Order: sequence, then structure tokens, then C-alpha cells
Amino acid sequence: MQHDEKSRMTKRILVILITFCLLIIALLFAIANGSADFSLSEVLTALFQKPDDVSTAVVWNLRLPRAIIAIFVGANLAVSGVLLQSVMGNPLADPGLTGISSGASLAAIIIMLLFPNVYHLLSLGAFLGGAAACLLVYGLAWKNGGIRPLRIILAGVAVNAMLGGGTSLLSILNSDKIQGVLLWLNGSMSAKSWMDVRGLLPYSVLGLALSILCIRGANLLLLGDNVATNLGARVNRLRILLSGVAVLLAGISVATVGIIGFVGLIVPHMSRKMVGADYRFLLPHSMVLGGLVLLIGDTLARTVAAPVELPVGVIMAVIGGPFFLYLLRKEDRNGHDA
Amino acid sequence: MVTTRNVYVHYGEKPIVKDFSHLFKEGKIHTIIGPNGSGKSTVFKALSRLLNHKSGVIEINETPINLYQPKSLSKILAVLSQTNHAPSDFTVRDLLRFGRTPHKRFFEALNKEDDTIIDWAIKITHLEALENRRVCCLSGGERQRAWIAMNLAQQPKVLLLDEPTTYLDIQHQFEVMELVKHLNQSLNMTVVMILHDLTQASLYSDEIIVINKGEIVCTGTPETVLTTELIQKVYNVNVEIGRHKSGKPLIVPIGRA
Ligand SMILES: Nc1ncnc2c1ncn2[C@@H]1O[C@H](COP(=O)(O)OP(=O)(O)OP(=O)(O)O)[C@@H](O)[C@H]1O
Ligand SMILES: [Mg+2]
Repeated sequence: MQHDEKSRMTKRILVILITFCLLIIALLFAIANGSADFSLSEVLTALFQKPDDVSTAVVWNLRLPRAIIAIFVGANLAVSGVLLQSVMGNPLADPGLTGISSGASLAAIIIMLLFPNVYHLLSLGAFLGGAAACLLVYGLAWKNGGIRPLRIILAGVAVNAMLGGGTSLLSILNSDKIQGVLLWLNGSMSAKSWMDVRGLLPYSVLGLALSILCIRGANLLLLGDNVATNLGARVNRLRILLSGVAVLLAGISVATVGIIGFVGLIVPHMSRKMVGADYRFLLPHSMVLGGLVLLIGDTLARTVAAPVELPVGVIMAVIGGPFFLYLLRKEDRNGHDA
Repeated sequence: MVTTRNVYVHYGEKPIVKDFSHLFKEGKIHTIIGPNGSGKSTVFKALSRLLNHKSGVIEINETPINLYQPKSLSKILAVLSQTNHAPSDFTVRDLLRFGRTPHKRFFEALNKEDDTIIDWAIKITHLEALENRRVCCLSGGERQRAWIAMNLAQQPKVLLLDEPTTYLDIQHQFEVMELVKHLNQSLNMTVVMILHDLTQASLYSDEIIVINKGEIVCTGTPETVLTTELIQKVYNVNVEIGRHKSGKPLIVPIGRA
């Protein structure tokens, strides 16, 4: 019988590895395709031998940093979603719905437009903004010692509308400086450079590493508060910790590329179908799949309407919106455990 | 082992458990009985710190429970709740892994020793054939055994079981009660359970605690506690009391009081 357990684990690890391989393939594909198409060998030559020509410049200065950002932002958002889903015991939680994204976004815009002299604190500001908005949504959704999913969605809609209003107001009042902000609001990865990678990467790696440490805690919350408490967990502390990591991951992502919705919702759901609900596999798989999904999304955004480039946030919304409605319907039918 | 003195437990302003004083002795099986809503589960919640008691003292091994770290308490005390819910695709073995939580640091992985303990818990609850089945797809009796096995993986000294036999057929009830007896006898585990079946309480308990409206009415051995007068007073039914060959009372309801 030990044997069954082994083969089940092997299968799940294999799924994670395969997803990772797909990510590598998607990366090569993303680098090869665009306004100028390269062959695989050209890409590999440019990557590893760095000859002094156009392909090297395009690959190294434009497409590689952009692809790296897509992968990490996708991983961050997916992991943020999967953590929030454990915190709330509900598969509908994600950084967009819980207000983290719009809070982070408003804070980032305030810094960009009103306090450009503290631009280097953008990530911190986005983190704090996201945390504040998240607290507000939790606070509003809290009733009789519990968080009801429907209340989260309602509170999220209200808070998102409020913060979005604030963002619009700021944009209108500063219409002269708005160009870059507008693109950013729809979640875009165009014109990302190594500088952006350097801003994102350390925090991403930190947040993703912390999320790995949260695996046992996230699993415990699946058993419900009473059982988790009886097993010696401090449930409230655990919730705050997981939410903190989720806010960090979503906040820095928003600070780098703006609002990209639904990744935190769709990806964990797909991962659950593939590797199950156990966070030992679910979390790493969501991480890899998140990177893959957003990288594909961004490659589509660059290429479907070429030479016009769409914001990747728009692509994700077009796919994610209907998907969210589908999940909502399912949730309705199955009660709490869709 | 577990001592309570003048314990009051409230929900909001309302006192649910009143002046609860009792000594739960090491290595004995204690059963709390009482009508629905009389506060039995609430006593458990106070013992396991799911609810803070308003006043009075609860001690385990002479130390007040509020002085324990949550994990140290969980190494001594395991609780089977009245209702349980496992994530849909967790197997019995997955569930048992959780039982090791109190023995691990926050990020520490399970090792060989933990696996040995999990194997032991599976064996003692006769779950060998089911360990890779999903918990949600087990029968009620098998599922109850799986949750008890998780409690055992905690390696506790005291086991609190809230209605372990409710919803089970007579065979599975028998299995669970025999398991409890076995754990008590072979591991000297202190057991406190909540039961509704008075005959079961009679046959398996060293001591019975009767509570009504949040207060202890009477405590003692099954023979002394389970009398027609007491049952009539607490449950408003008339019963006929027979004798098991061990001398313990067997209770049959015969009419409203
Ligand atoms: N979360 C709660 N909030 C407020 N009151 C509660 C809560 N849980 C239980 N109560 C009340 O406390 C009283 C005792 O409940 P408890 O669950 O301890 O009863 P019980 O003896 O275990 O009953 P049963 O045999 O039905 O399980 C009941 O009147 C119940 O309505
Ligand atoms: Mg009860």
C-alpha cells in the first residue's frame, strides 16, 4: 500500500516537472516571436553566445527581461491567490477580488504622480496599499466571527470601486503626466527593462520562498479552524501570516506591471484539477503554471493584433471574466466546496 | 490528569457551563452524558481551549491550560470533534500526517520516525487496507476510525471524543467502542467521551458524569449513577434497568415520565 502513495506522489511531481518544461518551451517561443521572428537556433545563439548583432540586442534587452517579468508576476499572482484561498477557505478568493490589487495600484499611482521623489519606495507603497485594502475588505466581510464568501465578493466590489474612483480622480487631475499611468492601469508589460527585473526579482524570490514555508499552515486551514486549533495551530496568526505573504506577492507585482486580474483565480483552479488540493503540490504547481499562463498571455498580447500591442491585463480579463462566472455558478450549486 | 474547578463557560453573556468541577483520572474512561444542548460539547471546547473559560481553573498535569503553548497542549490532548470535514481529495494517510503537526516546527518536514508513528496509528485502528483511500469516500465508521487515527498520530495522553458512535450502525459502534477500550487498556490512555447511548456509557465507562442545563447533576460508577430516578429526572423518560453479566446496568426506555 506504501506503493500507491509513492506512485501518486510521483505522478504529481511529474505533472509539476512537465509544467516546468512547458514553461521553458514557452519562454523560448516568447523570445523567438514578435515584430521580428527568430529561429530557435538564433535564439539559443543569442542567449548563450551573445554575438554582437540585432538578434542579441532584441533578445537580451527587450524580450528576455519582459518574459522574466511575465513569469514572475504570473507566479506571484497565482501563489497569492492560492494562499488567499486557504486563508478564506474559499476557491473564489484572489488578489483582485479582495482589493489587494486596487489598493496597491492606488498607492503606486499616488507615489508616481504626487511623490515622484520617493519613487524607489514604490514596492513598499504598493505593499502597504494592498495590505490596507485587504484589511478593509476582510473587515467589511467579517460577520459573527466568520468570513462569508458572498460578503467578500460584495465588499470587494465596493472597495474596488472606491479605490478605482480614487485612481481615476488622480489621473484626471494629473492628465499631463498620465500617459504611462494609463497603460499601467490595464496591466502591461511593454517596455520593461532589466531595471524593472531588478526591482521585481528580489521581492518575488523572497515572497515565493516564504510561500513555500507556508505550505503546512495552508494545509492545516483546510481542515477548519477547530481541528487546526486542536492540532496546535494559532489560527488567527496563521491567517495574518499567509495574507501578509499574499499581499507582498500581489503588491510588488502590481507595482511592476499594474493590475492583471484573474490569474490568481484561474491558475489555482487548474492546478487543483491537475495535482489535487494538497498544498505540498498545489502551491509549487500554481507557481509554475502561473508563470506559464501569464507568459503565454503576454506573448498573445504582443502578437495577436501586431503591430498593435494589447495590454496583457485585457487578455486575462477576456479569458478570466467568463471563467470567474463559471466558478461562481459552480460555487452556488455545491455550496462551499466548489 | 485533567482537573477542573468551578469552571464557567459563556457564549457571549450567557453562561452555558456552570460551576463544573471534576477530576478526570489518569488511565480511566470517563463518559459525559446529558440531554441535547446541555453543554457537553462546550465542556470539551473549554478543555481544548477552543473557548476561553470565564472563571475557574482547568489544569492538565497540575498546570493551568492557559499556560500551555498551543503545540504542547496538542501533544497531550487530542480531540475528536462532533463534526469533521476533510478536503475532498485527501487520503487517510494524508489526514494522518496532520496528526504530527504538534510535534513539528512550522516549516519542518515529516521524517522516517513520523512515518513509523503514522504506520502504528493505521495499524491500531485497522486501516491498513484503506490508507490510500480518500477520506470523503469512506463509510461513516471507517471515516470515524480515520479521524481517531489522526488523533492517535498526535501521541496524546488524553483523548476527548465527542459522540464517536453517532450515525454508526451497531457493528461500527461496537468497533469504535472496542477500539477506545483497547487504547485505554494497552496504552493507558485517559479517555473522556460524550455519548448519548446510556447502555454504551454503562458498559465502557469507569466513571459517568451526568450534566443537565450546564451543571453536573451526579458522578460515579455506572452502577451508582444510572438509576431509574436519575434518568427520569434528567431525561423525562421512564426506563427499565437490566443487568449485563458483568453487573453493569442495561437501560431500556419504556415511556414518558
Ligand atoms: N457558537 C455558539 N454560539 C452561541 N451559543 C451556542 C454556540 N454553540 C452552542 N451554543 C449553545 O450552547 C448550549 C450548549 O451547547 P452544546 O453544543 O455544548 O450542547 P451539547 O450538550 O453538546 O448538545 P448535543 O447533545 O446536541 O451535541 C446550547 O444551548 C447551544 O445552543
Ligand atoms: Mg454536542
